[in-house]
Amino acid sequence: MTNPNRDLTTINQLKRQLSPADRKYIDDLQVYLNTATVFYSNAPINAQLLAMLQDLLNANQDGLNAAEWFGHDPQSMADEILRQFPQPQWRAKLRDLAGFVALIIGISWFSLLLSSQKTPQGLQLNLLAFVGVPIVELIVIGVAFKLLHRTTYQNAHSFFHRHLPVILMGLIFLLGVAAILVTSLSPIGVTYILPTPWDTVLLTSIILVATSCFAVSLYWRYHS
Amino acid sequence: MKQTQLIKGVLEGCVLAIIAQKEVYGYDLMQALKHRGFTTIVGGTLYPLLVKLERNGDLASRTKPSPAGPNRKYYRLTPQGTQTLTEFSQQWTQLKGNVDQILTEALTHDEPQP
Repeated sequence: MTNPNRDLTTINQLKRQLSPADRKYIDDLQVYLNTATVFYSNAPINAQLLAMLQDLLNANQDGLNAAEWFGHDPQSMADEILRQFPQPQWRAKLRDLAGFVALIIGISWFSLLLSSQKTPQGLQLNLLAFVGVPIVELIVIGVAFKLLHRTTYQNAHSFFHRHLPVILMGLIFLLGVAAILVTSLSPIGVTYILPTPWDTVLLTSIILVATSCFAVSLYWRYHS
Repeated sequence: MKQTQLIKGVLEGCVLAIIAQKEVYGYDLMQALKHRGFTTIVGGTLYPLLVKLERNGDLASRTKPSPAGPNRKYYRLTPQGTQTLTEFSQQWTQLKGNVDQILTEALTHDEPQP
């Protein structure tokens, strides 16, 4: 298991030792810190959060709860930590961003290829969908993260305001699904026929590569 | 004047001074501060300060096995941190001398006549 994954696993294990109120305090802090940067690695932030959580568990033994240990203004503390955190170098930013975008494109194209219409001539590919769907998915993920970040510490008193983030998230999700369906199912834009037997070769290769990647990742996880 | 405002300016130097004595993790550091009279300090003040000092290069951290539980993040002073602490110590001595002098003068001065 890599260090960031190990930190995250340890955080989740240690949170079980907290009281419900303290767990909510740490959960909110974790969501707020992790949603501040959408497309970049959160490894340093999670390492910091783990250190703070371990200190809180020590403080619990002294009879202090999370609010007494960290203070009653977790948002200000989190903002200050984020402000003081060293910004990643542009190369690291680019690497994280490229990795994330590649993952989204890979998943989108994989599902689009599997769901593309099979004709007697071959596989009919909607090129607009291959460009549009990953873009829509990236926008939906970005907006959802921003929304989560902004509403974590929102003090809502009315029922509507309390549930506004969930409503907005649902709307964004529906909008995203609608956009994906429109771009992938409608016969608009340029289509390309991948002739037989190349369509079968391509689909078989993709399935083999995806299965191999999954097996390798499982192997790595098991051996680390 | 609120004590927290006074503390804010010197906390950085005090944190460096405590870490200069031995490698510590967050909880240890907070306990050390509280034992020395900084009883109003909370994590909301300390953790951003530690992140800032590490970013500035005054502190370095490493993960070390802990006697109880998982590995912990320990902070230690860097050569730059030692230099910052020396500068803080000099500035504090001078500031303390100036403030002491003003206070002594003010407290020993006769009450103004109405």
